[in-house]
Amino acid sequence: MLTSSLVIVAIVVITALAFDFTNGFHDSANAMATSVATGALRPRVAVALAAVLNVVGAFMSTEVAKTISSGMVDDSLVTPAMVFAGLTGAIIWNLLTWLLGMPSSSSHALFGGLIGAVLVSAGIAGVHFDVVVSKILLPALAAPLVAGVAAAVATRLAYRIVPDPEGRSASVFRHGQTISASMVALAHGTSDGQKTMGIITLVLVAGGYQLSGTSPQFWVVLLAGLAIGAGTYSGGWRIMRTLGKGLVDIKAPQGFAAESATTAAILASSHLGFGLSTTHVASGSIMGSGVGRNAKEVRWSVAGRMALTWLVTLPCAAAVGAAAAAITLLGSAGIVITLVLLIGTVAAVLVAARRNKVTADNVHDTHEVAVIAPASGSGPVGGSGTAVPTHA
Amino acid sequence: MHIDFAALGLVAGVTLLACVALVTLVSLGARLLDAGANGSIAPARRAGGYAVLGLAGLLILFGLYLVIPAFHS
Repeated sequence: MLTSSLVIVAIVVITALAFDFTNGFHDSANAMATSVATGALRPRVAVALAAVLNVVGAFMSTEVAKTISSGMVDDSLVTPAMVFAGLTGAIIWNLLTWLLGMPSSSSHALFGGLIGAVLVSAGIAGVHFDVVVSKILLPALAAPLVAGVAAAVATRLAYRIVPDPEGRSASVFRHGQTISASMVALAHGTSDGQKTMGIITLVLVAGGYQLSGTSPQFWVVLLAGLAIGAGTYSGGWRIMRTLGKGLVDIKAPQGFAAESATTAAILASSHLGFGLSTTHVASGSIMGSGVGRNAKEVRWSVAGRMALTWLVTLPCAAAVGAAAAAITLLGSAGIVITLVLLIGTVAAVLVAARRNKVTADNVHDTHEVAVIAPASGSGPVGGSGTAVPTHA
Repeated sequence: MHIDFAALGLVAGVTLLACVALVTLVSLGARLLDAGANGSIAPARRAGGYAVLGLAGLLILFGLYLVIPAFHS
């Protein structure tokens, strides 16, 4: 019994770290897409900076989370197997949206996966739907509005004050953008790095390997920090392309206004008691900076697809989490089957992504992320060799 | 169901104010530091430019203070 429980705890820890990695590469673009798009930072420098700041942030904040789901499900019903099923749903959703180049909230995916797992294993009473509405649905609508309005107003002001930024003024905007983007990366590390530490710690406590109420162990902090940092460094170039180029062709003042709005919204929401998802805030800011300059420049079809992605994130991750939970109900064999299916799905997505690679070198050659290689003429594919991002 | 609309309004207001303040300061600094047609800037103008950028820097430092938990927990 003890050994099987140790195996399950070990599997959950490794899956949690894998989720942390996907969290990093999914959210890399939130901080750095605009800086890469405007040429404020070279692509690889940008993700290296974001990765280091994410790790630093993860080490700064090790206050252990008291609940896995922030009250969305009844935590007393949650078993390590359910956490595993929930993480499976979150990882698969994060990878599929990455394949499509769509930003989507890693927290929503995680909560969705957990909700699905709890629904199957513990029934409808285990899920607090009122909390889901007030902490997920409403903030998902509010975040892009709050950040988007701020970014739009700020962009308009910036162009009013400096109508035609070039030379010195453009460089001031680019430096400002780098600084505020760094703040976003640091804040991301303090919040999201700590989420994985919380999950691992709670599972260790549940398995009897750690005393309840103690801080995360050092190896947990270290591994969680490194996993999110490595994920961030890997760049998530597909999402980077959508946010930096697909939504709006961003120029330096817009990039700075967008990053300022993102920073302000994240700090305000984390200190004034109304949690907003970094992803929704960052995407809203970028859209707002497009509206502030010229609403016609925003690719509304991309914005619409993004909004749709956000709407279905929770239910889709929940469906995968539920399926995984149903399989894990078979016991140890079910866990192994789920693990094999998870690894198979990850491999399939990675293979599909290879057909039309997006890398640091071609991230801004075009504005579309095609899953199937685009027909000739609609954009270069892979290794075009030009890494020079468009300048403002 | 409890939805804290007051907190949401506060977050929206503070976000707008902070973002507009920062972007206005940096834009003013950028404009002041932009060289004239002959490529030179008057010393007073340059000093003014760095002064407003300094104010923007203070805002950033306050943000950093908020981000780092060790400063306020």
